[in-house]
Amino acid sequence: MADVTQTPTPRRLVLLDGTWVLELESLVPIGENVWRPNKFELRGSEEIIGWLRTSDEHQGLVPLTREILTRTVPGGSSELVFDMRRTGWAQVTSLSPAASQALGRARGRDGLDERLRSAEADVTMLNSRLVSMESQLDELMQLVRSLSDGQGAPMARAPMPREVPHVLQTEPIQSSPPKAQPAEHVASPPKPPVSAPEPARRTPSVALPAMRAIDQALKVLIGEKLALADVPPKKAARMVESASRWALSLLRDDDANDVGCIVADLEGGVRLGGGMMMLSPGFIAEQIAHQAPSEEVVEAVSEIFNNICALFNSIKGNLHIRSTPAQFVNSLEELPAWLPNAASRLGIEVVEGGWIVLASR
Amino acid sequence: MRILIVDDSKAMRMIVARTLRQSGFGGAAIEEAATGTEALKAITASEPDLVLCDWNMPEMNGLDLLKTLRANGSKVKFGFVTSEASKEMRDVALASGALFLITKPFTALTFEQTLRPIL
Repeated sequence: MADVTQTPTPRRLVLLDGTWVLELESLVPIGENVWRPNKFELRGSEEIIGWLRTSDEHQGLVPLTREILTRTVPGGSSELVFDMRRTGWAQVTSLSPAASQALGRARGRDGLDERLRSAEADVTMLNSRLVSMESQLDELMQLVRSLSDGQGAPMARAPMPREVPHVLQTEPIQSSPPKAQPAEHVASPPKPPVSAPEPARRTPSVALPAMRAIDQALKVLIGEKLALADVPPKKAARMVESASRWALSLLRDDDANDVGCIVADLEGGVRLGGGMMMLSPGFIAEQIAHQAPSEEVVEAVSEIFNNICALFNSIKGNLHIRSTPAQFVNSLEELPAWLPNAASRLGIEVVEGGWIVLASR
Repeated sequence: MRILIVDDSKAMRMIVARTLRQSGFGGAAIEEAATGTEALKAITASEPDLVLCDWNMPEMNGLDLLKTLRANGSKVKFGFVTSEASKEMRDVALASGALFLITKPFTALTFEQTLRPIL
């Protein structure tokens, strides 16, 4: 939705003292779900038509606008105003009869254009709804994930909707995790013995971004050549333990408390960082083989982790966090001590080789 | 047209420059500065048409750079490209004279829609 609201939209076409002025407006976000209108003007017919021509969304207005600008030259009128309506410009002050006739002819010729514009507007609206629904789906998945993380093993306790598979990709950790039941047994979980101690419930310090959001963000940075796959939570934990060198960035809140981390193995880090810097496949392979990431790759990994950190910050209700610059470390002891018992984690495999794990304390 | 990218990360400067090209500003002369101090010198010497600045930088952060510029009377068009997304930071940025704040991760479309109206 943000992209839609930030698109400059023509609002009014005004003739003032012989000069045509196109008034445009876009909405600027000034906070979460808060937008500031940003109005600006284009003066002169040439500039107005030029801008409309280059606008993907509004170039359909060019023919009608040109007709207005060229045929409705006022006789005695010093001001003419057209408002933007769904089907195009609508006059809100009177025109001379001749000018109205000319404009009417123009509209007749542009009937098909108007229908096309209307259809395009419908497509835009449907696309916006789709984006909105996808966003709502992400939020629901976040909610279900955080609920499941807070309550221990969700599959063993309550039925989970099949439509939200990502819920199962984070791993809730508790002091005495009960064995997960097969999905078909979920509806009637066995009751724990009365004397059994209640497992400690742990709420993650921060909710993890959705896999899809991470995938999109990394594709912007690295390009479509990047292929990612999420991995089962148990495997994500094993991946961290089995590597021999890691790229690590800590996630810290505003009080400098560690609330999470992003970890990649050396191969994953080099593939992501090298991809972002557009290094040749040979150079990337060489760095992986020698276990020696170059300085520019380390810097690129930092930026990638920083972008992922921004995804944490975009989740409603999450603490504001910052990522520390990525460092390559050589022993498990250099990873956060809490990592094996992270409250939740999300594992992502780079299909060509390597992985990233996001973890919340 | 001249656009100055200010970011202590070479990788991010590269990404911002690439995104500018993808969003239709390939004809602009792209200049880079790695610190706020370096940017201040460059802007004082010759004002670019736009400054795209990171928020968190060593020495002089992006907000201090903007405040210094405005205190010195500069009216250079200035926007942030940053991972900082809190409402407070957005408010501070706009109140200090920033025209916009683009949060990471961004796309070429975001750049086009934000920059076209002001350039």
